[in-house]
Amino acid sequence: MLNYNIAVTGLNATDNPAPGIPVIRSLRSLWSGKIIGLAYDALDTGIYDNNLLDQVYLIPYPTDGEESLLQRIKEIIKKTPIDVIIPTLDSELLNFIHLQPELEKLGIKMFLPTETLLALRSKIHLQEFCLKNGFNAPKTKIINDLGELKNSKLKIPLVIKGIFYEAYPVFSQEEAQVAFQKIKVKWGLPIIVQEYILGEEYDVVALVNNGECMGKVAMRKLALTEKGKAWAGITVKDQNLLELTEEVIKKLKWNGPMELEVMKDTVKKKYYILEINPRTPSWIYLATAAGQNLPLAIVKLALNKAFFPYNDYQSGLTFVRHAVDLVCPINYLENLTTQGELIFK
Amino acid sequence: MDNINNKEITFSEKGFLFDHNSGLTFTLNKTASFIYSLLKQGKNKEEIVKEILDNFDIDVIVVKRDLEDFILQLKEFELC
Repeated sequence: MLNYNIAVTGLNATDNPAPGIPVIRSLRSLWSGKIIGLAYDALDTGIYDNNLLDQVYLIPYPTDGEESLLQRIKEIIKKTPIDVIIPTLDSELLNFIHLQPELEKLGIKMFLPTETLLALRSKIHLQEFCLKNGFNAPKTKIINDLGELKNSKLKIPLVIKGIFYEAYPVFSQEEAQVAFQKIKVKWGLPIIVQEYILGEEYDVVALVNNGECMGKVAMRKLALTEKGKAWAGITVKDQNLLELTEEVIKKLKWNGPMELEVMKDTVKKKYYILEINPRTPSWIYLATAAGQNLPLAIVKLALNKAFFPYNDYQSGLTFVRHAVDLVCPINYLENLTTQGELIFK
Repeated sequence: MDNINNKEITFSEKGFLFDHNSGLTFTLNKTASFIYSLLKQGKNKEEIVKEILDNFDIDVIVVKRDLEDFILQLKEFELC
């Protein structure tokens, strides 16, 4: 049993689930140290699961900036020391990357990509990266208003995406307008418009340390939510896909956790890179169950402990999400809203 | 058809087939399952036709046509 105190973000487990809860599920049975949830909202669903979490603290939204986050972390560690933080959300990564030296001084370790890497794989630069390195990517346009969409050469059907989250396939100009507005209100500008590639959707999670791939697991999406999130999936061993992942890692000189989202055009037998995400995916527990506990590897690498790379995993393992009602006493909500914390143990 | 056993495929006698490479699943009917299991055993087309004629009351022309059709489908899905 590992006796470090681990703090994990991204605990909202709705139809657009964050990776925090599956990261904690990967660690829970191995842990005697505290597992601490860092939540942005008192109604982030996962924070009410007292079987998974020992303590929960609210932290300021990423838009409040890194200084405000640092102050909050300083307050938290006066109550419970933290050895490792695992940030799991795209929108917060830059703040954590900037705070890394300060947090190190407080004894808190993380295992993150650099700011340069974060920018290289961003949705805005993805097409450019792929073209430069010989990877296929859907034709993409970055837009700030709907007029740009009408004037672009991209034809319906399209996928409309937010800078950090959410993606809607659209099959008419009207649907495109609705998706544009919906994402603009929630995630702001710019909006990413991608050519719609018809095919089978795959994801690969990988973890890289100093150029060495510590593990990678591929999954085919079996069911999607309307936001394009996997709601069911199955592990696969598509060697071409795994080799593509290695190539991407090499070309990016990646370091840290990564999720590669790929569409396989089943007619042309070509792989198109849809996204490269700088964190673990929300289906990370499937990789753990298949034999590669990458969250555990993240903790060990953050602590500079030895970790031997995984070489294999079980294919044909399926995950299916389902919603569960957690029933909680009123003092959970009371503590979170009045004190910004919830202490189970 | 000599590379069918080189593919990483889980096949159950109930007719469920899972391709570990693509992640695609298939459901085979009774005849297709019978043919697939014979292919896995390394039987050639002539041997398969004979086995089907021995086990099913069916015309040889239909068997040959359907066998070719089934093998084409397997190739299309990269299952052989």
